[in-house]
Amino acid sequence: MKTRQLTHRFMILLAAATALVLLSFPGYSEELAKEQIARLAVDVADIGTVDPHFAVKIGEAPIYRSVYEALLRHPPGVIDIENIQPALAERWEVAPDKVTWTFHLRKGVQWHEGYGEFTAEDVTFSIGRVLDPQVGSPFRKNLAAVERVTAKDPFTVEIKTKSPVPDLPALLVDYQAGYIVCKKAVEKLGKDINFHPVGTGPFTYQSYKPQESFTLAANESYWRGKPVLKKLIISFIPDNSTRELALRNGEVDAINIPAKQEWIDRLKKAGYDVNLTSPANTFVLLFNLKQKPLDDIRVRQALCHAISRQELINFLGKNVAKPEYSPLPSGYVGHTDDVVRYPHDPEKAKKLLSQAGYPNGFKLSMNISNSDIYLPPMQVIQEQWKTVGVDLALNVVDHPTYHKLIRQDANPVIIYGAYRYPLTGNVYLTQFYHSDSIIGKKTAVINFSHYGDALPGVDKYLDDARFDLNVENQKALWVKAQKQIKADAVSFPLFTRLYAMAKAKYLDLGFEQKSQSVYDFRETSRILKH
Amino acid sequence: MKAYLIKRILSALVIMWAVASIVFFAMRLVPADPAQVVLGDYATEEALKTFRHEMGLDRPLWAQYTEFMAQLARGDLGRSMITNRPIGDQIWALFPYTFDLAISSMLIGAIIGIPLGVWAAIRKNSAVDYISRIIALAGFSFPAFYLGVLLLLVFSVELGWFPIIHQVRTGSPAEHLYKLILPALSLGLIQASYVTRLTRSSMLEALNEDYVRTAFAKGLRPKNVYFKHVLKNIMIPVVTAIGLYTGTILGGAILTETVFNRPGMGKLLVGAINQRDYTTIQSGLMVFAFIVVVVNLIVDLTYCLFDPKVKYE
Repeated sequence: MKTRQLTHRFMILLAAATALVLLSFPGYSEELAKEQIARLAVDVADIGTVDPHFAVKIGEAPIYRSVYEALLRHPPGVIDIENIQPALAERWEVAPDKVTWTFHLRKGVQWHEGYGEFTAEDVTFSIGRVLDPQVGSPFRKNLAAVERVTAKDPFTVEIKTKSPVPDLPALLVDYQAGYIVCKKAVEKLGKDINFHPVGTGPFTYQSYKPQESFTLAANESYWRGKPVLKKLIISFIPDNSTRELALRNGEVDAINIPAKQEWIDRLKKAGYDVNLTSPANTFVLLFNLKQKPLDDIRVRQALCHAISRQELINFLGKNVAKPEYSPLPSGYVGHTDDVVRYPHDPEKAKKLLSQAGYPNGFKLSMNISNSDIYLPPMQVIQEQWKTVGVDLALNVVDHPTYHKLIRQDANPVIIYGAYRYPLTGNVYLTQFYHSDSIIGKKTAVINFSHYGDALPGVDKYLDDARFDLNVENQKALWVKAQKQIKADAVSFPLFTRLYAMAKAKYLDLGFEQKSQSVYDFRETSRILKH
Repeated sequence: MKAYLIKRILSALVIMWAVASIVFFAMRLVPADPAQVVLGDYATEEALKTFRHEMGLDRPLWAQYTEFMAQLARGDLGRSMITNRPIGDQIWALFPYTFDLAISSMLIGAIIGIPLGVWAAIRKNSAVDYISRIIALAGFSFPAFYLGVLLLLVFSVELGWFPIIHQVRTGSPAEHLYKLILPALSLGLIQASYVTRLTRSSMLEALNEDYVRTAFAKGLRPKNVYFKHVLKNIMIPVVTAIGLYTGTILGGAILTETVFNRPGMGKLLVGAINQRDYTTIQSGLMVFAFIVVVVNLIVDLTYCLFDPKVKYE
């Protein structure tokens, strides 16, 4: 009896203790912290430019994305081209001729630092700047179809395209060529605009310390409303361990982290929010159809059957990589998984190799980048191919050298990680599989396989889809292209490797970060009491 | 002395010219295209062409080379290919941070290394000797960045004495010094292990010399023998080594600056190499080479302080 009573008491005590622990656990109230300063650390040693028409480095994005805006935008935190929202333009329409677009601009939007009101002149200037070959923006191609931009009045812009461009709104969002810069500021600051951004967004330039940090202050008169954060400090910390220690020591609130399983598990366990985002680079193996023995489809099929995606993904980490089966990755408009998949089957691979005249396999040698996102997966594939008798020699070179060599047709097999905006079949499939994109040509992009020359290819599907304003027709054509590419065993899609980032729970962005390679900060972002 | 100096300066100039030429051609042997690296995957052929033209990369190699040499002769380090900022300004702005780090770690190396080496030699095969030898060996084999992370773990995360982010530009001189401690230790401790070993072995060698025996026989106190006679005699190899290690320290500074997130020339160079910023790499390496040459010249000149027999002719 006494023991039971004791047990009883003990249980009550235990319950009370648990409740206490749960209550005292750092759950964050809606109450704001006194100091509204967000501190982000990114993995670059320094920035090269924050001019949105030139910036290509990861660490530059949180700066120009907080300062500059575009006519339209993606919803905060996510790249979703089927859900584009108004920004500097309030509304837009396309005329029945399919090539005349009209954008009605928002009135009363002020440029930072007293550069005056945002008008149509800034829009014509910005698009003209991207298109001017003398300026040399790397994103010029995005808007190559634009024929003329005219300011109809201070708040109406008309854009005429050379041919119907169904994706035009998706090209005028807050991404690459779509950003609107301030005409007066660019003319006045000249090269200084590289490190002194002037925009219309929620945060405005405060200071830049080379190799250390970039500080932005709240734009008190932001048209969507005054930001909650007073300051946003972006520190450049290239060393992964130091960045993690800085987060754990409370010296920064958010960091980007290597997309590695152990990092994700460790930081989650330590009580941080980990965000894994896509669209991200999709890795694909491309076979050079002009090199022996890969010109034989049976050899390519055998190499496909010899690869186990599951093993690769287990190696990279279950949260980090997701399998891809189609030449157009999942998440892109027009994607289908209904293609020949070449499941892992070493026996079948060996049989195919015998039929092709290589019963004992063969030797192959390729250049490979030393980058830790290229080399390790290729080493896994090297082992897998060994089981069917294919002896792959890897000649390791540094990353920029690899990119140069593969563009000189040096490789029989190419591994390539890419992500192409806008997320439709158009850009992605054209760059990898259209005959115009074959390396060595004047119009070369990244068709390393010589697909379209070495084999008939899918040019017709891609060309027809490009100018079709009917999305359903486009999708049907892209599906045909994907099926054909897989049937020809031109490439073997491997996986998409997500971006990873971690933040303290008390940092509330005001939206969920589902896309982008680094955290975004908006007027709603805030620091909760902690 | 004057003749010697002129001779040394002339040979330094030849060394600098050789370094400049090697760097210039080695950079261009690497097959990567700077335009592609700078402008990224998305770059169009036109954008690449514009960039190459602007940077003079489409001109013949000899023209680029003569231009680079002419620039150097004028003392102009050129402009960064990436940011278009004058490299001289950039290096000048970062030089003090690397200089601080290099000098303070050399000092730490000497302050710890020389007494420890002397002590270990005097007490040969004692516990002190063994411990110092083990520590020196560990120091040799320790990569600077790893020691850096360990120091951060202990002194910043566990003890909370120092910040993780060693950003220095805002601070007062006191804060500047405070933030120099950990980075200087991580390089200096490694330097100390070299100095300890060298001091110990030179000291042991000297202790067998006749003049030491004579000094003891005269009845001098051991303290006077060790510090007045022996130490002065072994300073030449030790100081030479410290000078020679300037290169190693500058190399280590690259890693230390990265781990401690300090601004500095090492970080500038690594960034430039990753981006194929030819102009910055060339000029940055020239400055490094210059520092090594100057430090070694200074070291040679200090010999006469330790040994009156040394005369420069």
